[in-house]
Amino acid sequence: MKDRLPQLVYWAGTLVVLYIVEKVLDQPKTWVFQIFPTSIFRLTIDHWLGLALTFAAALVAWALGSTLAYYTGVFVGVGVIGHQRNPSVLQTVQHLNKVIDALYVVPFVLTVALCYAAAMVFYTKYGMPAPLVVAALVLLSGVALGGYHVFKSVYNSVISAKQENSYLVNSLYDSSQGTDTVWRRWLQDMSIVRRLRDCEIHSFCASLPTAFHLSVVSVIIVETVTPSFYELLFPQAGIAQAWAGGVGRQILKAQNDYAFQVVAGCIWVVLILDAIITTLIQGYLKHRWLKHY
Amino acid sequence: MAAHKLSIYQGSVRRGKFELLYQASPSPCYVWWPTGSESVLTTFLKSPSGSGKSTLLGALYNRLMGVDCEEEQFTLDFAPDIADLSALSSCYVPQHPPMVNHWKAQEILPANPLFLGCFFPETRSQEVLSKYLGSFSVGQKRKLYVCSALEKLAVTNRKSSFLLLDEALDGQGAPEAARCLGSVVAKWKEVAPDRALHILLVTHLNENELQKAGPAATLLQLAVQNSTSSTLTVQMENL
Repeated sequence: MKDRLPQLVYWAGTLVVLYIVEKVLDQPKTWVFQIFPTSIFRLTIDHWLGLALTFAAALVAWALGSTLAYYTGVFVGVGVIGHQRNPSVLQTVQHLNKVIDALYVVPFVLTVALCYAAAMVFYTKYGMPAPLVVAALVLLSGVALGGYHVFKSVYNSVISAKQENSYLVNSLYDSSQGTDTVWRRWLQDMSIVRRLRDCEIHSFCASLPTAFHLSVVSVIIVETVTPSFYELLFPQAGIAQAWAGGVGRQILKAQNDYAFQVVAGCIWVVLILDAIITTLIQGYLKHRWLKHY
Repeated sequence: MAAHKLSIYQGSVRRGKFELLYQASPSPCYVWWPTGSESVLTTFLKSPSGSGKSTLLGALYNRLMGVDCEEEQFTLDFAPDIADLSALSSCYVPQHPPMVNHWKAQEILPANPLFLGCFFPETRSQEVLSKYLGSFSVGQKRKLYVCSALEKLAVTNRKSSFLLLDEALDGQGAPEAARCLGSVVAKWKEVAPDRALHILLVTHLNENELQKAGPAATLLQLAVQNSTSSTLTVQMENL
């Protein structure tokens, strides 16, 4: 009898644990399982097409926004470098910097609403082509959040340049020097900005994947705030399929239906696609610049 | 030969609440007035660490470039006889320059560099130009930066040029640094005989060893006279 006592205790303990799991954890367990990565299998073809559209728009937004932000940063940097020759240019570029700061600080939802309303006024009253409304919102998605980081990386590498960076960059050979025309001087200043950016290349390389993360976020926000804006690409509004609103519209619908598994599935797919694309971007940056460090 | 005279009078450099007071003995010390027979001058600036060498060089460079540095104010009067700064060209390779490994050497050097042979005598120019800076050692990168600065000074066609080097050749050892300096002086006289060059080299290397194989040079020494939490008084002496 004494030999069997420990076995009885084990069995009793096991039964108690199973009872607790059954009564206390079973319901939450069901919920937790439904938001696991397996929730991806709840997604329909419309969800997948919507996700594809969203990521295509995010890629376009990232490419356009980063390019625009980069060249804005270079333009502002040139103004900062040339401020001793022309102080009024410095004031202009500092105002531009403040505008870009404001664009980042103002809640993006409000910026989207304002931009959409303004674009629609131009579309309805002044005959602006409808696809330009979409282009404006996609560009805004790329510039307002992600592009800000690209702009700041270039701007900071000039405005907050270490003294060593400035001394060296100004002292290195530059084939365009010795010219006195305004245009040549601008080219030379652009070359200095590019070299100052090179001195802080890690910061610049970090800004590009961040910009893509934020482009995805901002495109989804645009899709939820203005669910039908992609329809402006079609010849007639209201004829597009459900997926043509992007994942943002799908999430709105799932939210109204309390279909949290669908929202969870979309989150997992967004995370996976985002990770894949940022890895590709980082791979390119490593191939282009970072492999030398 | 252009008569540009560089003198350093006593003065101060203020950075925030900290001030460096430079006293010149004699005042002015460190007078350079290039003549036809002495178009290239080399000066070694020596002092213990923390005695304001880099600050002096930075202030000198800012003064020569006509740059107003917001972070520091200085009263050091470096160049009373140079009214037109556009007649000057200056380059400065700092003590800790950024190491931009993804640049190719050809991005900071011309296609046919004049001074590369002074620093890499055993290597073909094209071989150096085609390499990324990441494939060079830190000392070699510094030499490439110095070479790039010299190329810039050589093409500016200004009457006088200043090259400020903050321990840029120290990693090479005295014999190699002396050889490089000697080659640079000879090359400059060959490619720009009618223009003056002044090399101000901050170094911890032995000046006698440097002059044994390198060019004749003057010596400027800094010595800390007094140090408090807010001021550093430095004696500049032209030996």
